[in-house]
Amino acid sequence: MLLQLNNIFKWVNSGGQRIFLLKDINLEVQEGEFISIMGPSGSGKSTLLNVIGMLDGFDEGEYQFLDEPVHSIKEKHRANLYKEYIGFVFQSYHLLDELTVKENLEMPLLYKKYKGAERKAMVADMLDRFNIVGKKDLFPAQLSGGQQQLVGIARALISNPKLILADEPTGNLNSKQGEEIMELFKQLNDEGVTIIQVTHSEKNAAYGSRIINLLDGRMI
Amino acid sequence: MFKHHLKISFRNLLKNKGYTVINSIGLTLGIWCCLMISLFIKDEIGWDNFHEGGGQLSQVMANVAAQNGDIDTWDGIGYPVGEALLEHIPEIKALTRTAGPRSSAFGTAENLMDVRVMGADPNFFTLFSFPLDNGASQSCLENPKSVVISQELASSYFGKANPVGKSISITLDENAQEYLVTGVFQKIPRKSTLQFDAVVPLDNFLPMNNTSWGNGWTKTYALYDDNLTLGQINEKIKETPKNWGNSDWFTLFLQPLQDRYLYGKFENGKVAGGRIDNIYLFLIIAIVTLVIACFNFINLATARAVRRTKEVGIKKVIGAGKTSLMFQFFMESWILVTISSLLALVLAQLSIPVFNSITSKALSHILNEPFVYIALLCIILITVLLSGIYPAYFLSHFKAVAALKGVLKEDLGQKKIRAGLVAFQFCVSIVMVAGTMIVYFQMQYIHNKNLGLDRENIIYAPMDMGTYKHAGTIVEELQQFSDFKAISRASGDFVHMEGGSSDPIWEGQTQKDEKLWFTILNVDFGLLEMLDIQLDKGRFFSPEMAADTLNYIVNEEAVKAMGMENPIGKKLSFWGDEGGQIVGVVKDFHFTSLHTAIKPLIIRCRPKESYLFYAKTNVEKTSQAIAHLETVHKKFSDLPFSYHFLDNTLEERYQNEMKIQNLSSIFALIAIAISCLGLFGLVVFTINQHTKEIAIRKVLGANIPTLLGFLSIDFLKIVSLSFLIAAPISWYFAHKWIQGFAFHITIGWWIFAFAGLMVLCVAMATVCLLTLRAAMANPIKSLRME
Repeated sequence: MLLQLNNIFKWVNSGGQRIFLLKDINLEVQEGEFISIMGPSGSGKSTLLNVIGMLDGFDEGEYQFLDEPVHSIKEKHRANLYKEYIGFVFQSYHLLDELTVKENLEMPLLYKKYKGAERKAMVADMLDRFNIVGKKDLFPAQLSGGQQQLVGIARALISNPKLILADEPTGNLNSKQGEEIMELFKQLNDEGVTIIQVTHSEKNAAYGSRIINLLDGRMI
Repeated sequence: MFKHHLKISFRNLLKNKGYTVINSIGLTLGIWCCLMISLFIKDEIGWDNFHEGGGQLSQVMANVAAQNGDIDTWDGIGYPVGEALLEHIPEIKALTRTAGPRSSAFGTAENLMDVRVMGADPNFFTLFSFPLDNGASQSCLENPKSVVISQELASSYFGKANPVGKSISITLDENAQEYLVTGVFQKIPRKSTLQFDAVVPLDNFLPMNNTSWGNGWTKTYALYDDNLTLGQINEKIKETPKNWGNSDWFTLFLQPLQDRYLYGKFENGKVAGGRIDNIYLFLIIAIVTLVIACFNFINLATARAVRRTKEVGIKKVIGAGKTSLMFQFFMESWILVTISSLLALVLAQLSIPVFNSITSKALSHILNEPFVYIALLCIILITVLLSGIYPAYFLSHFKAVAALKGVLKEDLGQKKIRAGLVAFQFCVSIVMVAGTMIVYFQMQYIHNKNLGLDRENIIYAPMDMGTYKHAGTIVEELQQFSDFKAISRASGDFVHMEGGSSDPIWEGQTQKDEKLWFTILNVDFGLLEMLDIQLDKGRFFSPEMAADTLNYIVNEEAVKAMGMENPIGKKLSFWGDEGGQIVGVVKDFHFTSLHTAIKPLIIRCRPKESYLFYAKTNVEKTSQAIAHLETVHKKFSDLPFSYHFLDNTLEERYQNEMKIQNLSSIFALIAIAISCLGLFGLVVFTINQHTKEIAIRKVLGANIPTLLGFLSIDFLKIVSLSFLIAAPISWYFAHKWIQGFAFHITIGWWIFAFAGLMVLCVAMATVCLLTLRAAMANPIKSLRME
């Protein structure tokens, strides 16, 4: 088992009222799964993804990630955990504008303190795998949306995470580019990477092995 | 990682050129100021500290009771005072006296030089650490006809030969005498207040009345026991004149020689600053300019932070820790500061000539000086810390998710901090502008003040021994030329009136009257008329009245001080002259700087004791007149001719004030420039933040003036706040400075109002220009961006 959420609650206080963002979420994810989270705007999809990705906290409940109790371990430990095992892909790619493709890919490795030669090899490998060797010295602004997202995924994958969290990865792409990205995810999943994606599209959700529906912070 | 940070920082700086330029201009100016001021201060400290005696080597000073309860402090001490100190105060371990230095003729007619000769007691070279090349320091001035000369003088006079044992002719007095060279001293360090070319025994320097405690032609230096504090030794020597010299009108104290340069101003017998005041002033200015430049940086960096939230968010998501982010932002500050420092260094080297002319220093290639780099390193360190910490902390503490979503709201606290920083900058600007204006108006006032004498077209020239002997003839010869309106002589230059005495006894003086200190001026016939000094009562001196060379003219202040109802014809006597009387009273005129009030003055008609030639030239005949003066001078003297213009000399009295005026206006400009740069950055940021709001308001029907008002009201508030803080501060400092002048302008409220208004105008111009552009933009465009 990769991760387990037990009775997760998350809320904000607004005007003396408690508004629930997540309400009693219970979720088990096995290694190798491809899960799609669906639901209308404001239903808490992204919040859930962020909680799973440890970018956001929660107010109540328990979260086990590879048998580590995320809710009770220290910030630093938690940071190490997600650095090691989790990769993020965003709707608006979130590449660093000042860095070239190659440097964007290298960035996570730097934070994980890989050696220079090792970094070079891993980056070259990734460029190769995604067929973007020719674009390695371009800046994000010089790429199309699909290419940017490709780089985004490559960056998320570079340090071999067990889990990829994708927040509407095709939201800013046209349908052809979107399809390509989804095919890529499928392929990665086949290679053993666990994927959790947030999506609005039934078609994209169909790539996954399981669909979770959210409404007003509650799983239905 | 380091390389990576470096790369990303550089790209960031290049991408935001406007931001980088504004920031580096501000920082460059700030660092440049600091650098120049540290150069200035370095040159001002450490004078006279190379002597072995250290802090114990001190100069004996006298506090002289002047009229109306004031105490004047003199460094000229009566000849016998030193002997008394040695005899009666065992804690004084050694003591030496000097006189001069005076310019004297050296050598013979074929090889005549004008050198500064000083008289000193035989132990001079043991007390002072001016190392000697040849000759034993103990005995080199024992022989009354011995002389110790500088290496420069030795080589220019004797070439490579050993000068010791050679004889040389020196004209100290009216006649040349042969002296035996007994030693050569090495080059005197630049930072020595004592500068001279040759030393002769004091007793041979000027044979004067050496028994009077009241004379002041020697300077006395003492080395005291280091078991005593300065306060203790001063307590012991204070009453020496009363106890052993029968003179109760003055007391003694010691001032360490190394303090003399910086602490040369005395008030009521106590040290009251001096050059040290300038050091403090400039130090404050340096710190303040650097601080406002750093504030600029902080303001711009945090204001721009909102734009960098995405970067911070992404980096956090892919694994960056706070430390690593802080380090990166710190690095950006560091790069910017380093670039600015290099620019500042170049600017510093380029501005050295201006710096020299303003501060009257003689710096040249500062790039070769290790001190500059040490100072620069310190400045960089301080600047990076000061400007980098807050932005780095601020930027690295965003929450990743919020940062990525862009929902980061600026909290009120940060806004207030920024407003506070800008308010501080404007405070400084207003204080500087007001200060500069007050200094300027005071200098104008001094310049235009009626001194009570005519200073235009007056040349004066000091006499040397040759011209002195024939002074009468020279005056007569010069009178032949039509380019002169008048020729005369006097003993003072109306800046430093050296002669003074408390000896005068006047008719009607009562026992109750305290001793009065008079300034004594010796003149030739016609001098008072030449300077257009106004007569109040009686008459001027006249060559037809033979008795006038014993008579006196006094100023109104002296009449008041002596309490005379009817001064004309009253008897007055001092310095052995009996039988003279007051023949005239002149209206008060300024014969010292406007720092001091007009004091009682006695003018004597003593052509023989007036050592300066005075000439009033016809307008536009100045150069011819100088040529005549030189020709006549050459006829009677082998020494070089020198002359001065009286109006220049009068202006030079205020050199220090001029310095402050020039510097304060430069710094005021820099402060305003930096502050406006900061404001510019802040306005750009505010407008960026309000783009959507402006667009919505415009769509809803707001016109440009209302938008301008809405955008600029915050800045108006900030400038008004800084005015409220700055006005009392600048008033306080201006008031303190202006109290240093006995005659000064009154500080009107309008000066502050004007300074505030001026800064406000500059600020509002910046704001309006930028807001206008934002207000006129097409609202659809800004809305579509969302």
